[in-house]
Amino acid sequence: MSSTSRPQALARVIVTPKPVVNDPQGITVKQGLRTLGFSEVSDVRVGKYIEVLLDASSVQEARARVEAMCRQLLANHVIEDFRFEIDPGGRRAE
Amino acid sequence: MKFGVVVFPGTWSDRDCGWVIDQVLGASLQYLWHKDADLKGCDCVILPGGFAYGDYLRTGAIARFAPVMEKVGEFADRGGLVWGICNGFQILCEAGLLPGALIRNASLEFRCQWTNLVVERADLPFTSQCANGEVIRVPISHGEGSYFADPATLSRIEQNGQVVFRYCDQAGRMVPGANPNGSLHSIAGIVNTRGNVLGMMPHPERCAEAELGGTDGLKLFQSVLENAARVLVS
Repeated sequence: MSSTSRPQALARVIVTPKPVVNDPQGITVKQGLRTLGFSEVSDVRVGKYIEVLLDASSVQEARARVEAMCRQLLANHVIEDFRFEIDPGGRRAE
Repeated sequence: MKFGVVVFPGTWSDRDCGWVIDQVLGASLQYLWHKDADLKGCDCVILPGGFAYGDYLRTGAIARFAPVMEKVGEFADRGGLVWGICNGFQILCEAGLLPGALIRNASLEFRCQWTNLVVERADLPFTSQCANGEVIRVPISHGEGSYFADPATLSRIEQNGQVVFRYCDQAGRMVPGANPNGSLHSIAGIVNTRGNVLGMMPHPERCAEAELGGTDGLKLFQSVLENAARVLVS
């Protein structure tokens, strides 16, 4: 249950395929961009963007919890890297 | 000897596996619901193909939290036979019961076609009816079946002899055209080091009757039937 008394933070998590993992989606999107005339494009990687709204007393606490979430579920360490930012304001992206 | 077939929301090959076990093999069959926290005395647990939990987040990522999976993990740790087919293989990798991961096919296409597999481990409870080096014909049906592991893991799997099946041509050669999804080392199926947890992308339950175009898949079910009683579960 979400507590109304505790401040909320919004985590913006980005999950990407590891550089060593073949990313056929990225290759296909790159080819599409080049076909459209964006000849300056040399590489595209397709990943995921995940927003997590959580109760947290501090940015450090939110950071530690989201790190654990990424390791246990949001990213598969075999094939994916993750990074995230914490917005202490707890606002979702419009 | 009793086969258990796990059913998650979104599983689609449970009835095909059940048909082979019950109608073709004439063996004892028990469906296991994902909410079951009990394997009901099954001697071999099959995680069948499909799209458990809609493949949300990643294939197999949510299924591993199902109550039944905790019991499947314990059963595997005790030496019980666990057999993941297609989505079941993806779930076993996500659950950490097998190394590596299955990623999007290199072609980006969903591939539904016959493949040839060379059997590299005929000494397992799952494959004893096959011969080492034998080529069997088994269909695949997946969009995310490209086997990936980091170089260190891959070399460990190879050194341990954990590769059970590789995609090949009819003569058993690992040529690029025979690899339908871009799997590293043409890997179609692997086993854990103990030899009791098998994951494979191809569907043996779809080639267990001549009417379906082939019977090579039946050999795997027959192998389990023959060996399950001798498998020691602590």
